[in-house]
Amino acid sequence: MRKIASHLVTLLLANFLTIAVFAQTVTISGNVRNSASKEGAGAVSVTIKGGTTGTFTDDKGNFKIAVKSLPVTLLISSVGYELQEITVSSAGFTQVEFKPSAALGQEVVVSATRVPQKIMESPVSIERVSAANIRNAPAASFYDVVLGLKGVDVTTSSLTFKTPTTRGFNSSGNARFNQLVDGMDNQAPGLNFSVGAIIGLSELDVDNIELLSGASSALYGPGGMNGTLLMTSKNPFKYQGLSFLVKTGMMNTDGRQRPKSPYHNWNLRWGKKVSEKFAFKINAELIQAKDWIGTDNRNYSRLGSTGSVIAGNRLTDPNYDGVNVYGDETTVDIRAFFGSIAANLPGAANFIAANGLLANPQNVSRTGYTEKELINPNTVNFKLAGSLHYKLSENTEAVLAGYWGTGNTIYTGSDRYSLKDFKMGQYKLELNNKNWSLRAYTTQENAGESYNTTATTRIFNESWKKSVTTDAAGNPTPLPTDWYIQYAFSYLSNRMNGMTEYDAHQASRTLADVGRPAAGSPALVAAYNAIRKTPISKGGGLLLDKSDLYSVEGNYNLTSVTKEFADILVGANYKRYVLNSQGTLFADSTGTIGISEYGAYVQATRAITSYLKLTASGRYDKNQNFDGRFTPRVTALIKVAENNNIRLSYQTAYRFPTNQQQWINLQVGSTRLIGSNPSFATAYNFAGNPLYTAESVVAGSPVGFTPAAVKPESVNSFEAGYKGLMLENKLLVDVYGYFGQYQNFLGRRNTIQTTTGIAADISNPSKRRNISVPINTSDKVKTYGFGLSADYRLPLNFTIGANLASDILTDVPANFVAYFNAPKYKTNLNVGNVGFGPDKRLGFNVAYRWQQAYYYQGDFANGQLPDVHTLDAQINVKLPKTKSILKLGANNLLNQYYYNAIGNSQIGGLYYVSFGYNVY
Amino acid sequence: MKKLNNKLLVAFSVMVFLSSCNKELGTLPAIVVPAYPAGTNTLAATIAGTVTDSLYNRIIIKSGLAATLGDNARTFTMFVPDNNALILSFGGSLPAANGAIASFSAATCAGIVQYNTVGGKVPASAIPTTFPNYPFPSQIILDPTQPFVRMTTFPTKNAVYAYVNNIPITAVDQAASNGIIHHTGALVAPPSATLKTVIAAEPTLSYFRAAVARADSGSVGLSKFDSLLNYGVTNMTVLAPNDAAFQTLVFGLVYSSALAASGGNIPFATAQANGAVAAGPAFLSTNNVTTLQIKGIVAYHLLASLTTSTTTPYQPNIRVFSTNVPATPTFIKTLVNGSIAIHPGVLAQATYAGPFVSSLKFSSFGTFPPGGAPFSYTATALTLDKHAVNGVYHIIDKVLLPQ
Repeated sequence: MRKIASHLVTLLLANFLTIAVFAQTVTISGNVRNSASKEGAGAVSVTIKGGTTGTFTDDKGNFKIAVKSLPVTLLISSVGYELQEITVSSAGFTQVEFKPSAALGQEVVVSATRVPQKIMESPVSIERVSAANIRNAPAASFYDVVLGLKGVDVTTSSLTFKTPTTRGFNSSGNARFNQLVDGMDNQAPGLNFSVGAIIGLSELDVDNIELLSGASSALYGPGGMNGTLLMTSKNPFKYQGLSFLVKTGMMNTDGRQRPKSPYHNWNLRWGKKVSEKFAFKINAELIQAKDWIGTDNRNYSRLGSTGSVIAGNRLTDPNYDGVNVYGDETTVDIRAFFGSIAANLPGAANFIAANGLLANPQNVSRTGYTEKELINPNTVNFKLAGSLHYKLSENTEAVLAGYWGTGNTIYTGSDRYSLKDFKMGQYKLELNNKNWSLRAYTTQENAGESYNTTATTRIFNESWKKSVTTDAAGNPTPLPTDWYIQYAFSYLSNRMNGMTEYDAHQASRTLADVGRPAAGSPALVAAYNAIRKTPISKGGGLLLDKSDLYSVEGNYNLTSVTKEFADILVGANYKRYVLNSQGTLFADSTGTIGISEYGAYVQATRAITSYLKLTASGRYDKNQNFDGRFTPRVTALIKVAENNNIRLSYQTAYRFPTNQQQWINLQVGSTRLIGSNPSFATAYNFAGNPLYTAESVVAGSPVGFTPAAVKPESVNSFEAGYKGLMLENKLLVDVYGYFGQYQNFLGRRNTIQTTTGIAADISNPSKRRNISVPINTSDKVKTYGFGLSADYRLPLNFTIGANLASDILTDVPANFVAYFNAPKYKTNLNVGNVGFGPDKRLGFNVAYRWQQAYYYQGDFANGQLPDVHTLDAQINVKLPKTKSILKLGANNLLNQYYYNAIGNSQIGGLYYVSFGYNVY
Repeated sequence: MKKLNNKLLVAFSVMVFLSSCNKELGTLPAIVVPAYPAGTNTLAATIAGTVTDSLYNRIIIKSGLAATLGDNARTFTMFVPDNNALILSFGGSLPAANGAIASFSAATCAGIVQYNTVGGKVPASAIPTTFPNYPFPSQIILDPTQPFVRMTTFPTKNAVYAYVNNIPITAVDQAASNGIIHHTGALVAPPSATLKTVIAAEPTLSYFRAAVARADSGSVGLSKFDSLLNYGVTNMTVLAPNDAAFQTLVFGLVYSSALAASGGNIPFATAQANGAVAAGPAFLSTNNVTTLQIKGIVAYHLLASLTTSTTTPYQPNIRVFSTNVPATPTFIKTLVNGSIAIHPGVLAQATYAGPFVSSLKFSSFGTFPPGGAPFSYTATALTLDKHAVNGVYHIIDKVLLPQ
């Protein structure tokens, strides 16, 4: 052990001590430009052949590099260009004509094995999006480019809140898919959803995005059950200069959701290499628009264990509960009032009996407000980021970076949430060496004025007119002023007046709603705002979440000392969550809650032959509340020909219950969600006041339920794939197939407990409460699927691509709700050109996406999603003299509204024109 | 190049075609809004178009309810006295009936129509045969703050005849688009006062009123008979012995008591008894009788039924018209059962002549003079079916004794 430590210290010292040889003698300057367009080529690597010295061209293509002596051979390289060697014999200016390459598959990826390698040689499925891809994509936001990748599904909650995933289990807040921004976990520590599109990189600062499809815990820790998205920003040493991008567009062009509204997106980036040692960058992005909204006002039934969309509307169903209508979740069976009347008034009793008013449930809902009537449509998203980069040595760079963002958006969890003035900052200090890295970062979350729209509206309804007055113990003590009393009395009277059931309900609602504040009225706005600004813990709808994450991690590439045996990489990390919601989300009303996790991994790669490379990885993680878990990964890469590889892998992944699943203590509708931590069993006295399964209580035969200790969820996945270049490297084909088995699914179970502690009261609806507890399901389910893609470089800079993917869930037990949420088939087609017309200054791209219809399951709502077809397009013209580009584009060109989760916003067309300066 | 462009154009066109067909929100079964009955023969139109209902039609028009009864969105069952029935009810001739209707105010007409109209369809087959009878809420609202608190009417039927209250139904099930019409043999007039009020106006019930007052001494609230008789939303039946009945009882009680006390002095006993009778109803407030005795007697004259209440299982909640009493002797519980649950009640029996009750008798457990066989002491109703908002009373010729 001591010997190993000694080696590590030596290695570290060796890296730092290279500072001593940081002296050069001759400076070469030059310019690299695109041989076709004559544009300066920025961020091109210029290195000395046979050495380690190198630099990058600036935004105009200029470079300077110091060498020991002349002549020297420079290697000029950049993705999308042919590698070029230039011999420089004298100091002075060198002009390099850099020839664009038609070859595909030249990109280098890092995330597959945590070490750089050609994408063609990745042992697991990986997709990569470069800055160039983003520049040419028909997408208003860089995040949207991910959606066109093979096998990606997305849940769109609103304009700026999109959640991608792969291989199923998609939802608005997906805890099975990691998103990392410059190595930092982008998940909000308290709210437990990744905020990649809201608070993360701004578009001009995206260097690349890598998508690992499928299980990826072995290298990236718990959570990556279904995949990991790694977003990497531009290094100011490489990407320099001032850039800006202005997009102005239009939404709601058909006035369907609201009048035509503008879309603004301003991006600014300034990267500056002050010296060979020091560089910095600043980024800002502002998006302003009128958001898409949920307009699904179909009737929703919440009865039973799984809800569904049902026929009926506010007029035809007294118990109408619109999907995107809030406040109408409050429902009462008014038979209780009829029963009371009947007991005291024989004349009415017989009428009530004769007309069957007690025979069947007479559920009546309060009158709600639509999402459009409640939610402020203004969505604002502001991101501010900056970093300082200092080279401690030729191989070691220190980075101090901060990413901060705030925004208003809409999110779908167990209810619809309006994230208002949500803020999150991520700050890191990082040391990067070619052999090792060390990173410490923190995520600081502030929910701002975010509130639960559903709960807030229900509370507003109660504040305007009580549904049914209760005493301090919660027992009904109805008053004539109560909404349901007025409704029930009126209904009975109306029936006695000869009205039909239908008319009697309408008239009764009209009566009970007399004086109800109209949508948009000052009375509604004032009262609603007061409630949404009141913490949930004090009877309002406000979330006070200020949870934080602190993390330290590092890794070391030991290859320099182990290369004769294998390339070995080791790493470790420590995370500390501090939950702080002041009792509005977690059971933390008396103080913050800390959760610690740590883990370590090792990876060994060995080329068995020139045609076979094996990699084995293993990772161990421990959460303070759960037993430790080991997740292995084994991969094999078989080279069948140059640039033609077969990959095989066995991967495992798991996730600990999210912070919410561990510690939530939140009333949602008529149900209280609680966490899995054993302290809840004490707080809710499960031992003395047992839980019963909800369905058994409703059926009249209560069956006790004792929650078991919750375990992490896991998946084992097998995958085979092939990636190959053909037709003179102009056709790139990628194919994969996978099989996975999940176990210990994390879910919830609805239970009922008495409020009195008296067992007999379980049959009394007024003396019991609903409690949803986290559970593992014992059932194992299997998934399998495939993906295939083909990209072809046509002559004259035309490109065409297509991909198709399929994800299937099988062995699903009856009545098991898996939330798989993936279409069986989905496809993307695209055609484009990066340079045609006069001086090849024109470009275009058209992308079509289709996903097959499927049945969506979510905590908020379930229902059938129809097929989704979208067409995105852009056409652009480059203006080389001003280093600028004009783009005319459209997301959802044909304005065909679609939605990809029940209750989520309906997404229409977004049309924009953009002007970009120095975008490269 | 041209070929390539053509291919790309085709690809683009396919994309546009494919993406131009997103479905709107998933389709669901059509929403069915219940349809109103069709047709123009509404209740109002049917009555207006029936020559033999012309008098009632005049009442409807005057009531202002024609539009409501002509609304296919509303469904009612109406009890309609035809012209002969109204003539019978209003003076025996058409001119008299016309004159009576002409003299009615709109409010009076509205009261008549509202009382004879119940919500929903009640075909003859649905008229109940159960006993105690079955109150139907009429269109007369008693408490505007609780509009389901209504004056009730009582359609019933036996094996042969159907009634509303005590009025025979002469024809049933005339269909209208928005309801059903049953014709009645006379006007079923809505009551306008509580039992307390109408009993207070009865010249032959002064002893009964005095008995109620004595029975109530020491009681409060609705436990007082007086309050109960004035409580509008109850549904009671009172067997009210007339003054002669009470005088007979008083005479007998005092006579037998004085005779015993005087060692068989008949003149003395007779004088004492006559004196007690001469004291009038005030005798019931003297110490010659106890409050408990009078309370028991009054309670025995209020019919009751068993309810689900655990605190007051027997309640005075039945309205027994003469036509509700079976031809065979039948026990009906009384408020005495509130104290003595196993008490058999009173034995009631009606004698019918056609649809009408020709004789109504009630026999008590106790007899006068005491010692007779139970239920051998029988009172005959002298006046039947005196109707009030909160009940009905029959004036009987004997005081029934619970023991």
